[in-house]
Amino acid sequence: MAEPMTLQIITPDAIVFEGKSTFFVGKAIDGQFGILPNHAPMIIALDLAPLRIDQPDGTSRELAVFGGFCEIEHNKVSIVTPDCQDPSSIDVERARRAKERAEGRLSNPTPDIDVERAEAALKRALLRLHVTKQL
Amino acid sequence: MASAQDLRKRIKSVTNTQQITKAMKMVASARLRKAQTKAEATRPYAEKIGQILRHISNSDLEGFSSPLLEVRPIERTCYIVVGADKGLAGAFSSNVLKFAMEQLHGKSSDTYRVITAGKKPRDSMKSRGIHIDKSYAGFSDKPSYEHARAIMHEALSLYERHEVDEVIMIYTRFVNSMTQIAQAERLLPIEQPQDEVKGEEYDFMPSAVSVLEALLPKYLEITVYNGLLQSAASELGARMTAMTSATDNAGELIDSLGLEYNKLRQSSITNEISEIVGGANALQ
Repeated sequence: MAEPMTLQIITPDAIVFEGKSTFFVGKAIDGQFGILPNHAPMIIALDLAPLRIDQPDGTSRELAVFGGFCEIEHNKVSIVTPDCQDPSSIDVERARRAKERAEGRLSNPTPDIDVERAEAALKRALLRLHVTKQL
Repeated sequence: MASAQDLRKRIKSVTNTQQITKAMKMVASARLRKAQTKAEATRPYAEKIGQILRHISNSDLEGFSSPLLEVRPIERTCYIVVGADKGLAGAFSSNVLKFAMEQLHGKSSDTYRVITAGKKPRDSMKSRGIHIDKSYAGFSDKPSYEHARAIMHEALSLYERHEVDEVIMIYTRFVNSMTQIAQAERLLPIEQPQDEVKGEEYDFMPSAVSVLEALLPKYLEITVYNGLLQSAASELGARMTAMTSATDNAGELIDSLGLEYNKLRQSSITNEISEIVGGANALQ
């Protein structure tokens, strides 16, 4: 088997994940992709989606990645994202409330509501619920 | 000349003030350390985003150019002025304001738009009769990425609607706790890095153009975020320095008041003794 790649997830406030991976699945703005070690250099624009990381010890973990980019170079992968959350740190109740609020706003839009913002909020809430398996 | 009682009161009040400034100094220095670590922590993210931008700039974009990169003749400018929420930070607020006013000097009010972050720049620019388009406050010493995103969103929409042709951020760069420099940085249009990066060609998914379109707003957000963090560290640094010197000055004042009080006390005792001695002498 090929040497596992080094994976780093960088957010504006910290490096939230650093480790080895044998395979990971993410979602680009035009669909899902999977990356195996020794991939050719590539830059991918990510969508708000769960990111599954298979670790060399056979376990896999899923993180919520809120957009951003993935850069692959020499078996070294850097994911730069505005925000990345581990399911254990997600407040399910809060996400559920956010989802309801956003849905409410979208179902009866009034002129003072920013539809784009409500849609983005809904997407974020759905992603949070998805990775915590509450959906 | 003040009476002994007045002096005692004065000393007590100055001691209280000194305790307050000492506490503020300690709070500021603890927060400063935190703010500095936070500013450090954004560096990997900012560097990576910059690196990706350079990679894209070097690749073939098939003649595509984002409006964010396009240089238009400058008729109107948007200024983002980043300052503090609270005072007691020495010349911090007035330095930012002075710098901002220099930039606006001689321009007619329809050629610029102003967005402020922090209560101080908002209030002081308002009192100088400058119209403020949008103001943000309440986070000057602990900004988060969300704040940067909100500010950039506002500036970006002005730019995209062609209401302004460039966006300049005025903020204070943190050098160390003694030195902070107010400066301006142009955010829009984005200057594309021209330096060649070595290494191989990258593939882009879905395409170089869509990666670039997604990247540019992120690049701006992190630049603004960095500005907010620099300004936060500067504010706390300036406050720490100001409060240190205030504490020192209060100490000096207490010393000289104490000296004066002791002199006064001594002279009144001398006076009393001489009166008693005089009285005793008269009885003999």
